[in-house]
Amino acid sequence: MDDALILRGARRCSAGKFLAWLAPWAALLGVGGFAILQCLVRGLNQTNMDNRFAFGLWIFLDLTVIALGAGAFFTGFLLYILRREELRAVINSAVVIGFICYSGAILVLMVDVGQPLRAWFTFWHPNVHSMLTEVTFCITCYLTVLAIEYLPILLKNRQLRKIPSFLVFEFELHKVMPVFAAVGAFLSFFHQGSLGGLYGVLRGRPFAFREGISIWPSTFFLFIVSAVATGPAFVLLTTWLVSKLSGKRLVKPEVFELLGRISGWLLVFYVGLKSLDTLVWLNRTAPGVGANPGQFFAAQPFGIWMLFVEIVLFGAAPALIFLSRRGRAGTGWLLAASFLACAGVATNRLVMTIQTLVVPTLKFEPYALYWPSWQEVATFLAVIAYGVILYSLSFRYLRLFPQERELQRG
Amino acid sequence: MKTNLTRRDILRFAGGAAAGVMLSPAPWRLTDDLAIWTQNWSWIPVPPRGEPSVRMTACSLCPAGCAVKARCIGALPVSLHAVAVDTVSGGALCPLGLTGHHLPYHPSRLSAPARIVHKDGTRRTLPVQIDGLLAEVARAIAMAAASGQAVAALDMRPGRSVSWVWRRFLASRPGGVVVPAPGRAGASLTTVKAMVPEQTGAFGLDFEGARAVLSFGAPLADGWGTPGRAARLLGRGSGKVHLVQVEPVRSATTERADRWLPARPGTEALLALGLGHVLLAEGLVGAQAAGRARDLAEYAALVSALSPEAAAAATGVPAEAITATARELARGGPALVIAGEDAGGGRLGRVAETAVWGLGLLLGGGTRPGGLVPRAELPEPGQDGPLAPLRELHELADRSVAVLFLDTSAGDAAFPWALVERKLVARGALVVALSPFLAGTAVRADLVVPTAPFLEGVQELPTPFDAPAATFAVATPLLQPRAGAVDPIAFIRAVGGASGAKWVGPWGTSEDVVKARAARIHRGGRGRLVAFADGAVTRTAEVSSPDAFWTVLQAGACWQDERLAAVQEKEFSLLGGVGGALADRAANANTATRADARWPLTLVPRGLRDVTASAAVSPVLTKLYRESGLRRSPAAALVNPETARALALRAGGNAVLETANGAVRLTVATDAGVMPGVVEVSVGPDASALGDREAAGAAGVLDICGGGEGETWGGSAARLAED
Amino acid sequence: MENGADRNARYGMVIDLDRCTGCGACAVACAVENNVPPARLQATDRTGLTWMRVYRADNGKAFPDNRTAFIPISCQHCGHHPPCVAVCPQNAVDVDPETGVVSQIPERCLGCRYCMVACPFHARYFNWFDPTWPKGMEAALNPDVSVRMRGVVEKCNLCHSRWQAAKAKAAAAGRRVIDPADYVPACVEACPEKAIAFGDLADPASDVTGLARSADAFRLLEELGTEPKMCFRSKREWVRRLGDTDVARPESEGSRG
Repeated sequence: MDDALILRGARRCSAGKFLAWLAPWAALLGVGGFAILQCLVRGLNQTNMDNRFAFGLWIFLDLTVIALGAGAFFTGFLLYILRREELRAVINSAVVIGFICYSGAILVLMVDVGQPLRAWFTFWHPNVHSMLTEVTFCITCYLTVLAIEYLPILLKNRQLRKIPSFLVFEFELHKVMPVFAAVGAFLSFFHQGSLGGLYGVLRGRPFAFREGISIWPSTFFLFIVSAVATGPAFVLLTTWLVSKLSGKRLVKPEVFELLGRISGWLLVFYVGLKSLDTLVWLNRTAPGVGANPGQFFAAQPFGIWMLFVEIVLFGAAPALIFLSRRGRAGTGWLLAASFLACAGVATNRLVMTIQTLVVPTLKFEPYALYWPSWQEVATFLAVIAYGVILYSLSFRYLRLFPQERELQRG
Repeated sequence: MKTNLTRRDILRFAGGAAAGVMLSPAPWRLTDDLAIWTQNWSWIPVPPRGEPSVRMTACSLCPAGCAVKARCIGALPVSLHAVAVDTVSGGALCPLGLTGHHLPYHPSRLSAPARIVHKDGTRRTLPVQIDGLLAEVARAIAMAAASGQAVAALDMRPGRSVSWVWRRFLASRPGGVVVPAPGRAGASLTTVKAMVPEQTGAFGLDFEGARAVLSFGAPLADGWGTPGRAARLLGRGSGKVHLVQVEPVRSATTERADRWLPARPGTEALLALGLGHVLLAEGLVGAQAAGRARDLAEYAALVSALSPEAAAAATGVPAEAITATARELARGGPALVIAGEDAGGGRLGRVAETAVWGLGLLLGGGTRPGGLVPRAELPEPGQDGPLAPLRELHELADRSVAVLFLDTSAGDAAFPWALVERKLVARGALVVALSPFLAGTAVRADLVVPTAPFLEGVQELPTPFDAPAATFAVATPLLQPRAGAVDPIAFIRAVGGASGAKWVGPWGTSEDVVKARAARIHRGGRGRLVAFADGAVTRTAEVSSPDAFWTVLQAGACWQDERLAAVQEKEFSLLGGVGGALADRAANANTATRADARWPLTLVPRGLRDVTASAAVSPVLTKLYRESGLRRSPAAALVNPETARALALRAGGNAVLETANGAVRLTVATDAGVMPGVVEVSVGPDASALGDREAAGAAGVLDICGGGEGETWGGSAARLAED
Repeated sequence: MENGADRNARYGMVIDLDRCTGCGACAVACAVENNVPPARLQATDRTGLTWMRVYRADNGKAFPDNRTAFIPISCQHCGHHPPCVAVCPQNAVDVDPETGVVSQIPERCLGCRYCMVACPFHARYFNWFDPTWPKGMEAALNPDVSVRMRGVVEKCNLCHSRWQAAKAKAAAAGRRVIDPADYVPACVEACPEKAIAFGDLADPASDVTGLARSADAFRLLEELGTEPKMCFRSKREWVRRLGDTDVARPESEGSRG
């Protein structure tokens, strides 16, 4: 029915089947939309956030999707700046995922603030000392860059490329893509870091506070490294997932192997840096302000076991798998390692967002826990649903995987 | 030269102007102002506008009667402030007083008379016309007379002129009686009054002259007397009074006390007798006291078995503490011993109070500076005439009252309603409440008549129970009365008229009768007026006329009587007619500790006067309850962690608290300041200060309390089990 | 006192914890002065607005040696790099150089709540609900303080409107320096025990300067280095330890939700 829109030579399921695939996600989007409306109309009392947990599920979601969406800028950096041509096979998919992640994050941020209509104040009265100002500026700029990177993919749609001016525009744009990739990498580098900096500068929270270099706490660098380390793993994971769901081979195995190797080395670097940072934090930084490191891990489930899980199970283990030839040879191993790596970055963001607030700062206040309300969960799921829908549409009508036709023929 | 304007010129000008404006502050300011404009949504409340002014009045929300300075905007009070002048209260307001100006807008404020239908534990409110209400009341009174049943008025704020009018009115009704609120602060003074029968007038407490204070359950730092007076007492530099507090649970008072004697609930009499034993054994009783005590020998015999060790075993207070306390009291200068009342837990009971006051008399030999001091009573508003008797609630016969008036027009009190219920006739009893709010005790009534709340109607502040000399102040209204509010005097008059009685005096409204009292005070010629605004002192004798006297009072002032000489003349009884009961207790001291296996705990209800003295409190008091957890919620049962472990209760879990009178569902909370074996429950404010879950449970604990001696309810046998 | 005219003040408090009885008058007076709305029915102690909030702490001992202290906490008006000032993306936190008061600008607040995460004293409160008073009670609001709306953060500002009134009064009398008796925050005024001493810490003649330097004085979380201008005093050692950064203790609390 919509064959005219589908890539020439590519096989896609029937329109009816596609709609059946989209329907439940659309329903989820609807429920989430309702939850968002409730929050916007009735106020943030619809969530379970409170004065102890000023940041909750949504901030965790924001940090995690932005970290995972780092695959977009990093793949672009590797392809256009470092000239790793194999990654051309996945760059389009990475850009779409990046776009989804960042637009989803901004959507959730708009619901998370108490006064969404005042979102422009950060641009109007910026505070140069605040990490969050930097984050806001860079995320907004980067989303623009991602939109610009998405545009040529969109314009290459079968029907759209029939329009000559689009074709020309797309061609010209393609010539300057390295510039955008460089700009994107630069912006991304900074806001990934600033997101880490958000927590590292909190002098009032010994659990989160870190020393660092000049104005940048160590979490600035740790967030960048963890994002670039897991970005490729996430691209790997999503590509495999799409391949599985669509029943097609989309990339050659060498691509996965390369992504795994890059991720592996970066993960090793990250685990080393993180372990060093943890030791410094627990033995010097926190005791330096009088905090007792034992107090950080006193409330379950945020015990010391979580630290080990984050660094060892979700950090060192996938790194070793990625770096071993046998690990890279089997798709199963690669997937497991990718999953563990992504889980690691999610755990790290969870710990920074939630555990920071679990730990009391005053001796006479209790440890506290937090569970999100259904409105928060529904919004979270709506973002996922939005991502799935947008990606599905992109996959169906756009050439996300250049190697697909070749692999189909072969 | 070009003389005609072209389009290009205009465009150029416009372009230049736009660029120029961008360089000016205008667009940036306009954009900034957008921020302010987005603040002004229609649903955001707007504060009042008007000329600021300051007006003086007094707070009538509890009997302390603290002076109040009201900051008004356009004649509407927007905040209340304490006034540091030399009144008994001096320089402090409690949370209730600080938010008193909110009460006229309280959501449970009544604007028309109502009938309350009680059915199956639920309440429905129906409108009723005042004429029909009066007719119904008159009929009920007539029927009561016909069947020989009593007509009673429960006066939550005794001592006012209106209180006196109730007594005059009910004197003409057969079986008419006026009952002061049970468990009110200062009620125990009636006990000591009976122990010094020849002393005329009332007793005040001379805290300022005392060097040591032994308080049995009087929450001095929790608003028992007046907040400012207690603060001065406990905070005086080197001359600070030595405070010994007897209480089963830790409180702000025990924290400030120099010594805390945690006596088991119900053993206060034994502790007092034990202290008496030490005084006698160590020869610490002065000759004067010994000389005036009529029954010293009997007393000595009674306390002979209560050595410190025996008293320690019975009360749980260490023997060394008992001995040390007795010595401190005897040697440290004037010592004042007081039997207190808890705002939620009520009195200790006549037997325990007798032992406590007896100890004080033993230490001081009667009235004297730094102890009990005699005080002249305020004159009544009108000529002497027949007065209905004043009876404590427990002195009425069960099932004897057919018509009961609840006068909560000037304030409320907390006590178990069951104690009142049993005095009402089984069928056909009519309860009529006068209240500004449909809250507190008034909701128990069948008919409610709306009266004016604080700041809308004239209220009178007669002498607070603890004042060392008589005082009198008027709470001047600052707001226009709302339509529908009924004046209590007008109501009593109308009821009298409807039941065919002759009116007792010339007054039509509360203001008339209060003014009449003020005129009589002025005629007495004693004392002085202290103005709140500037502390200016005027002797009564120098005020030319009753009208001038009234004008000064209305502008915000307090009349203070001269102190009477505290001469130790009168004889007193140490055992006050309850010697037999005290002897029983002393004899059974060693069995006092054996707990009943069925009811292993003692339920101690506790209240704070700033939330029990008024039927409604400002919703802003959520700052102290729900929004901070500073004060315990009435839905929480507090037990010691040891007790919780023994009963397998989890902090935060649901539980059922049961006594012989019923059961309530509460949440368990642990607190190491509660004595093991005791469960403490707060008697809280009305539901508007609580959360929706708690409001449902708020009415709970007093409903299951009761059964103590002389209708006390401060320590009921209870059990607590997981729900 | 004209020589004070050109010197900036540093207003602070010294709260005597041995005198505080936990009566709550300070919290209530603050709410009346600053138009802080009462809690909605669904609000809890973690979604309330308590610019001044009185905490309870105990010494951890068993009955009858258990002792309580009450600690009134409002914004500590940090003097050195206040954590909340640096983190606000909109510059909605203003430090007044003339008084040292750290004020929140609700009209500029976006409601991102980053400052709430940054503040170790939990002195900042978010309007989770629209502020509502019972019908008619708006007539009892204070016109000197703006009413905030839902979705913004608010906190203690040392009754800045009273300071401005004191300045206006001094200006009307032709003076540049305010009379200290004219500037008394609501909580200080309301305390029945007079447990809160307030004044200019930069003025050597002020009461608070001496009290703040006494041996019994301590500040909360001093080791963090934010130099709070609110001090506390107690003769009890265990109470002074309550300001430590080390918060280790055995139990953990239940969750909300």
